[in-house]
Amino acid sequence: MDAEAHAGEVGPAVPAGEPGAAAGGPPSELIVAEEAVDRRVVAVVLRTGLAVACALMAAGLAVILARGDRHAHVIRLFEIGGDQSAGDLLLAAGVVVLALTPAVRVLALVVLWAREGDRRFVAVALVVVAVLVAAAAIGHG
Amino acid sequence: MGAGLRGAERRARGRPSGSLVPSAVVQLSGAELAGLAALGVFAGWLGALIGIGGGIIVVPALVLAFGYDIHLAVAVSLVCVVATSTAAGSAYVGEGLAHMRLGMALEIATTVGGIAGGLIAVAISPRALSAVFAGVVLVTAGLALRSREAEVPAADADDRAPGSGPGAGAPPPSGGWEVPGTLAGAYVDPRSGVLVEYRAERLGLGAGVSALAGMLSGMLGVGGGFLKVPAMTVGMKVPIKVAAATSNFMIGVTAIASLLVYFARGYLRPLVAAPIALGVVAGALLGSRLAARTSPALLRRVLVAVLVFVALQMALKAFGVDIGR
Repeated sequence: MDAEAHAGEVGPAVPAGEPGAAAGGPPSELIVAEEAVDRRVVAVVLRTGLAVACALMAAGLAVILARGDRHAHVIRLFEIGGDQSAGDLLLAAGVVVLALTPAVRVLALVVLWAREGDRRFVAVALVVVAVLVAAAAIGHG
Repeated sequence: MGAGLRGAERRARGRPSGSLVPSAVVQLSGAELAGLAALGVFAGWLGALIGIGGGIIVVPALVLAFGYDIHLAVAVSLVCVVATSTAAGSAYVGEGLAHMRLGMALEIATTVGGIAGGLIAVAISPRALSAVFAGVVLVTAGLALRSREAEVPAADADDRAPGSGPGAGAPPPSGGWEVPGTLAGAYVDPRSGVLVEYRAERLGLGAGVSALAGMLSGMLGVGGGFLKVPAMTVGMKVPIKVAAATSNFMIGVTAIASLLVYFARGYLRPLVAAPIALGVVAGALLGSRLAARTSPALLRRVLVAVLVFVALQMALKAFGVDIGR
């Protein structure tokens, strides 16, 4: 089912993406169902990522407090896994998971919108992914 | 806390190795870790109650009270901004208020702006960054003073579907929805039960303001919602509830664009960031549960007074006057 077909179901003969197209009242059952899946998947991705990140950071703090070494080291993104202590590794992993969570949300929407045939916004989301990859590369450079 | 630090260590805090000041070994006391966590709880609590990002609290607190370098403070704040946005974004998405396609379209601009902001911030002096921060804090204080309770603007009434509303025809689904392939959508106002339809206009204007918001977010570690929400409501004709939810949905992606720059370049100390981030999440949960028992109007007035004080302190710091020590 592509995006144009969806828009035709909910809107009064206004092509999707054209100025003047409106939400057109209550949507079809198909759109409601797909929308619900999209939102559920995104919410689960965000909640899971946040929970894992918080668990890793809490574990890292616990290890550091237990060992008594409370040095706040600088850790660079591309040097994680070098000579850091277990506590620092857990903390850095927590930050990485937290930072990856919104990016995974973008990737999830790429897959969901591709499945729904919404090519325009698949392209938009892929541009966002490309900008984020560029951010990491620019930071590294 | 920071007042007890020796000057050399204070100046060196947060500086990455290889930059102007060599990397210092920063040892945190138990009291300092507890203070960082308390700062996070406070920022998350206040943010949940009156709808401001934690960055506007976290950055000046780290600089003025804890004595950290503003670049480290911004990097730490961005971690908190991602945590806050992820928690709030999941709730807004679940309710159907955030327009994910509109958010994604504007994220192209905010992420590019975020990278630019991160690069500008690491290139300019802490004093210059403090001056910009002071200006933005003052603007935020002004906006907080003028803001009122979020409500559906009168203009939205014109967007209501003919015959929509309570008892009109088949009941619409709860929450909101998007029209696939477009920037149009609708939601059912939970208080009135009225169907509110909208279509985002002037995407170029929204993208331009979003790029600026992303740049300020990357430079200063703030969310940038104070620019994006008015741009969406006034410029793009998006209802305020959708604009606020969509802005929150976007902030996480915007923040990671610049966070990656700071993290890759060695401006982040995870032991400083973790207790604040955990505190922010706990504070946000606490704030959302206490929201019904507090007065947002009173909190807003207190916040304005605090922000004006913070702006003055940051401005003095920018001019080399450090009256806090």
